[in-house]
Amino acid sequence: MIILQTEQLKKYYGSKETIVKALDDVNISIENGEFVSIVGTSGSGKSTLLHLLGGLDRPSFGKVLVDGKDIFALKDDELTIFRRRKIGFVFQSYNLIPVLSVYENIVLPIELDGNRVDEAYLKQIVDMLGLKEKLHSYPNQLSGGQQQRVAIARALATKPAIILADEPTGNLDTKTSLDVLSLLKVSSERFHQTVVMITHNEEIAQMADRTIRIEDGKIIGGE
Amino acid sequence: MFHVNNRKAIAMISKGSMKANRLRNLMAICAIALTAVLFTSLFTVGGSILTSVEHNTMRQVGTSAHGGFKFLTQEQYDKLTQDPTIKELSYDIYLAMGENKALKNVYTEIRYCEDLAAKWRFSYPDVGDMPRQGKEIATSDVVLDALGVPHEIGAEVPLEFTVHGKQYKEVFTLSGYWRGDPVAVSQSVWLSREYVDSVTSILSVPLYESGSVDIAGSINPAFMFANPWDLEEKVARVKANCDFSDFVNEGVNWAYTASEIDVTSVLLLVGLILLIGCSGYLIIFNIFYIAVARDIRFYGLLKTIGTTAKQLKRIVRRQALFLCFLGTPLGLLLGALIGRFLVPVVLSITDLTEFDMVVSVHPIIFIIAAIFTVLTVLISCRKPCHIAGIVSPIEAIRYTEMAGGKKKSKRRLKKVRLGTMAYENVFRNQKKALVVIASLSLSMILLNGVYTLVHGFDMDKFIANSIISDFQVASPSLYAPLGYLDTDVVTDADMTAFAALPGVTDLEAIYFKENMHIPSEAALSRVNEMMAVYGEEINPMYREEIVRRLSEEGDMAAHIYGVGPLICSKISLYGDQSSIDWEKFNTGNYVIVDPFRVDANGEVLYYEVGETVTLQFGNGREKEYEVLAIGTVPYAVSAHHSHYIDPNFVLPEQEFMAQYPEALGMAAILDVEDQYISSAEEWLTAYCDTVNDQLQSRSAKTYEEEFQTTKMMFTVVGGGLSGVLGVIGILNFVNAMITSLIARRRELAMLESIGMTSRQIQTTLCLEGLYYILFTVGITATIGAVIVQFLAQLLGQQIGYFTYRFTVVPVLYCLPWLVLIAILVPLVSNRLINRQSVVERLRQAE
Repeated sequence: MIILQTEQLKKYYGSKETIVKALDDVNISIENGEFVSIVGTSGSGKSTLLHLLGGLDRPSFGKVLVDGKDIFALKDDELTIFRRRKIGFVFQSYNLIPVLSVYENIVLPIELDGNRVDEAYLKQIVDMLGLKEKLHSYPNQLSGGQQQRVAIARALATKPAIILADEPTGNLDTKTSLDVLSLLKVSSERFHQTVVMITHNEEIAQMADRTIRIEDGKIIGGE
Repeated sequence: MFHVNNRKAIAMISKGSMKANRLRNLMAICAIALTAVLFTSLFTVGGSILTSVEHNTMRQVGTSAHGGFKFLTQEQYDKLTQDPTIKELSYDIYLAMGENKALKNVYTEIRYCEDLAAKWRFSYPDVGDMPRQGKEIATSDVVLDALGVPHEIGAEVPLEFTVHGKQYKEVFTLSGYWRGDPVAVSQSVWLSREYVDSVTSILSVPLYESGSVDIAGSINPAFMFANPWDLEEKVARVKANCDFSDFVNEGVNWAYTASEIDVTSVLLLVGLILLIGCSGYLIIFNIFYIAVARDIRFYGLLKTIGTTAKQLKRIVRRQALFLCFLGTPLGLLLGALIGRFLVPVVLSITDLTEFDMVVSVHPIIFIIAAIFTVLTVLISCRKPCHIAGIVSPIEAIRYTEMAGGKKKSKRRLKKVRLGTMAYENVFRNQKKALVVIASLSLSMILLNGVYTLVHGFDMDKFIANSIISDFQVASPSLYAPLGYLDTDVVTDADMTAFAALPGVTDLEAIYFKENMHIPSEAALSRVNEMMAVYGEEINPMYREEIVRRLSEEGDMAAHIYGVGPLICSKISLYGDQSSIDWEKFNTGNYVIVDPFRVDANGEVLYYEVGETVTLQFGNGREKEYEVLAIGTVPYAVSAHHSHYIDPNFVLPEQEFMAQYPEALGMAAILDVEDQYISSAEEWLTAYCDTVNDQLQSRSAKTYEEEFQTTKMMFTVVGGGLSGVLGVIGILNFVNAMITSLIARRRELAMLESIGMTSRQIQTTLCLEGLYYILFTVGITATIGAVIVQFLAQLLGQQIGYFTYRFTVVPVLYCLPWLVLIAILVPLVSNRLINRQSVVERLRQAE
């Protein structure tokens, strides 16, 4: 079953003379439960693609379908709510809220939605990511790897269908990178989640089920 | 050590940093300008009051010259002209005093006077010129009016006077006149030197040598030194330099020396300076603190590449001083304008109303205000400079706005609510939040204080202090704070006329005499004890005189009042008595005595009830009385002055008249039926203008107006001050909010990316604003209320007509506005700052 699909997705910046085609007619489809990596050099348009997939940005032309539904038909706030229910984000720079504890950071998206926290599920995530001892700590008391694990836990917390990871290991050393990544992979398999990950590191990309290559805004392989 | 010239580099970095902080610069300039505005208007008002007081004292003294001598010979005067310390010298020659019948009530001195001396004496023609030749004359309109001469150049002025025993009756021609000063001790008449020389020769032998008392032809020099400091010593030195005998009369202008420092005013001034400095500090500190905290990575970077702590501090200070340079002149200008507007308002309630008002725009005011402003700025950025200086390059990179980073871990796993998050955000940087709250609270507390003060003004109390009837008729001198008091003014004819007024319900006169009093043995020992305990408080000059009289002559100053049953019933009594038995009192064998003072320990008495008092009435007449009660005549009908230690005795009218058959009333009080009030007022005013012009009528209504003016002044000045402090507080809040939003741009974008709707973000931000207000109101209502109460009670002791009432009304009035600001500021700034899309913001910050 296809969970994520793009149709003639285009994102242009600038006006006629100086137009920059960040994405030019991208058509990809991703199956439910797949772990896909998107590889490209910097400036290739991979981040733009990820942002569009997550509904953070609006395309110049084309559609993004999640579960067959066009997400850009939604209004801004509806899109935000859709995002927090269906999509989990993991960023290169973790982006944790400094004033909240680890626990609070993890449950934040659930509570923003006004839902009860599924403590049993949360316990599984926390145990799996090895954060049990750190729940009361604050982000600036954690190492980079720990912070990224918190970010992953936060992305998993709402049981999203899709996890979008933007260079999740970009700030980490090789060993930690592999650790974090395998955790991401294990957890997504366990909870039947689809992961789309951006990277420029071939070795990391190899861990995915499939690798999509992008260059100059165009898909050049793996679709 | 090498001397490295890095000034240029530092300047360059400062300049670059300035350019990058446009918002901070704007905020800082506003804050500095506001601080300067407050200082300038404070000093303008203060300076103007000082100059006005000085100016009016000079008018009472009769000259603005620093000093002078009296009755010099030509030879002595010539010596004086050689004195190097005297900067300007001028003189007049005394001739005589005016003896026309029409001048009976106007004390007039006839002299030749140089132009400069005439100007110093405030007696230089406004119209026309000084007398230059022959029988020309110049004088004040007061003299002209008394003589019935029209105010026209060339008018004929008849003058009678006596010189060296010879009487003159001359007619002079008016060459000039000026607006006379009714406050002045004497009025001047200037004649030409030519005429004076024809009547008298200049004094050749000093009076103390000839033993003569004829001062006609004596020279009275007046002079100015380079500055008005140490006048007494300077005059003494001039006297010594010129070899003048000790018998030469010297004069030092006490307008320059008598500016005794009044403790209350100094405290008020220091308090206001501190208040302004404090509010200035709170905002300027916060602006620089936030700016430095935000640029900390930049400073860390500079340190990594070898900038020393000292240089970093200099970079920050340089910026502060540059902003000062822009903000201060703006503030000085605005402050001067505001001060100009405030001076008349402030002066309108002081005793100076009837005097000239002088708005001081002395450059020193601006210099002092500027110094205070710069000082505030320098003190404010000491801490931020320090932070910039001590930053470690590594820490700087990891620096987030979490002060310390060591937060207590929460024991329970709580739900995250927007409210909690907002709270955490507010106190993310505790110092910043506290400073903003303090700044807002300061203005709120002040506002509350001003409101409490103004609403505590009790009109009934105020009026009761000033007047106890619908109308009071007395000599205007009764209300003048200084000068001669005319106590025999209300004649029987006046009383008869008043009684005939329609609607009069009560009418009574009060009589007053001053006489020396020989205290009884018991009273004398009490007085000696008072001198021992309270003597320190008395001006030493008076104290010595009191002590001398008590020991040598065995007497002291005393006041004797004569009252009728109406005023008698209004006497405030001490001790057990609650009322006076008028029948008994009126027998003429009893007296009421006031206490020396009443304080927390009770009354300090001259005489006790039942004791015998012997009153002296002058010319050897005296009589014994028994003390009936201890009581004080209402202030409104009292003589309004005291000799510090002087018992006030009250006798019934009849007894008083028996002792002083010639006495006229000092004042009359009238009560009128309500519907006749305005007609009575008109009638009385007309009566005092035409029939007995020694009288002035005051009504309860005039005092009501005076009360409203006073209240208005406190409202305008206090409201203005708290308004400006409020603007500073809000500016502080806006600055804190905007800088915090800029610092959290990425964080907010991230929150949006993980699913926080813009509505939820806005709610959080508004809650942050509301937390500031919540704490401000909390502090104002608790600590603030205590402070206000404390100050109010202090003030209550100073201002007789103030009653403290607890109130938070102004806070309630301000609350909706504060809430509006708390909501609008974050919303608007968020819209302005976070206009770009989530992705752009996420990316930009990295």
